[in-house]
Amino acid sequence: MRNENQTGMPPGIYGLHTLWGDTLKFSAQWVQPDGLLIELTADQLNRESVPEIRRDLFKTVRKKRVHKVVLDLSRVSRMDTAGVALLVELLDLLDRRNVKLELSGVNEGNRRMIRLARLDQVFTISNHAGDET
Amino acid sequence: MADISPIIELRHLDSFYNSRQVLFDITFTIPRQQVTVIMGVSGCGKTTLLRHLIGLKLSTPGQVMVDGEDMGRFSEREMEAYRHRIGVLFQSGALFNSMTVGENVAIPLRVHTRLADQTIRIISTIKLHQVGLSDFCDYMPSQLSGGMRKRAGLARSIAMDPEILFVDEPSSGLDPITAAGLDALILELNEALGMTIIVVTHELESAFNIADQMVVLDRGRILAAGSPQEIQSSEDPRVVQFLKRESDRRQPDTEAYLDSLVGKGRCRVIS
Repeated sequence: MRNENQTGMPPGIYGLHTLWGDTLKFSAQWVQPDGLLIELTADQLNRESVPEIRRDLFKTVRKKRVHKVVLDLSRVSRMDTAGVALLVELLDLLDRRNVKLELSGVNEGNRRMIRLARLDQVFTISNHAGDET
Repeated sequence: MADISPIIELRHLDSFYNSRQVLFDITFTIPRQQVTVIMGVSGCGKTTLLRHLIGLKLSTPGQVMVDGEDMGRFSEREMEAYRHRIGVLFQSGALFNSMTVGENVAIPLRVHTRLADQTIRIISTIKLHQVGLSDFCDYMPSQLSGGMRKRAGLARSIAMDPEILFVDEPSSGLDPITAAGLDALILELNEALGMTIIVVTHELESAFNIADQMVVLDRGRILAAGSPQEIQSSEDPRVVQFLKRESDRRQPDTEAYLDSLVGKGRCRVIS
């Protein structure tokens, strides 16, 4: 159930950003009660894709008043340290606004990247949105 | 399952400094996503071989093949693309003394990416943290010990998450605990990122800790190559001598020595 009244936004996907043709994009939608579910649809979250994703992603989350952001990475097959750094920046940005960040759909390779950066204790990671592990 | 197809292949590589030959008919393959250790005593040609592998010394005669393509025939653009795929830790660390440690680590990211300053700062800090130097970001290289400079150099060499990492003597000048930590990091990078890692070293303990395959050089020639177990069980007297750390008691070439003292090949000390 999406919270149409509280947010004043229509339900469903409202922001679909195509960054590089059809290959790199993310979508964001409101979720109950006042959270934002952002699905990264880029296959790679790396030093090539991060600059554009960062710009648009930060613009999106800065504009919205929510208590929680769930970042769905299930379509991101590979992430490098630039991708991890982007997650750190997002966490910091949201933390300063008292907004909780949850990562979902993180595959094993991407979990290893987060572990390698010694940040596995820093992020809340769930298998599915709202399902913390 | 790791892809262990060859990423680099050396074919009959000879190498010279002026007329002096330092590598002879070097032929072996470096498997993808594996740790390959090139070993040998000082002066056996390890660092020269490394210079060929990173494209600092081009191979004639012989070939260095990267993904089946001859590096000797690379265009400038292809060489540049190859350099983007590799990270190199030089023996000295090769830091810029006029920059802080953090700035040194950030250089490749500033030069080769369009990442924002804040993203670069975070990546640099992550890399320094991985090598145990997160508190030294604002230090100048001159304020660090030799071992710390080497670790800072390693942080810089992995800043771009290279596909292939070349490491020249990672443990030399390090205390045993720091050296073991560096070995653990090399293994972690290999496992977590599937990084192909080529380590040049004469430190036996470190070599056997990290290697998937080993190449032993002796006076510019391959003495033995294989898995750590195969090298360990080699019956070649020179390999045994190297593994047992026995000093070289061969009779010197008296005639050549005399020549160097009085003859044509003498060392020039007065200009």
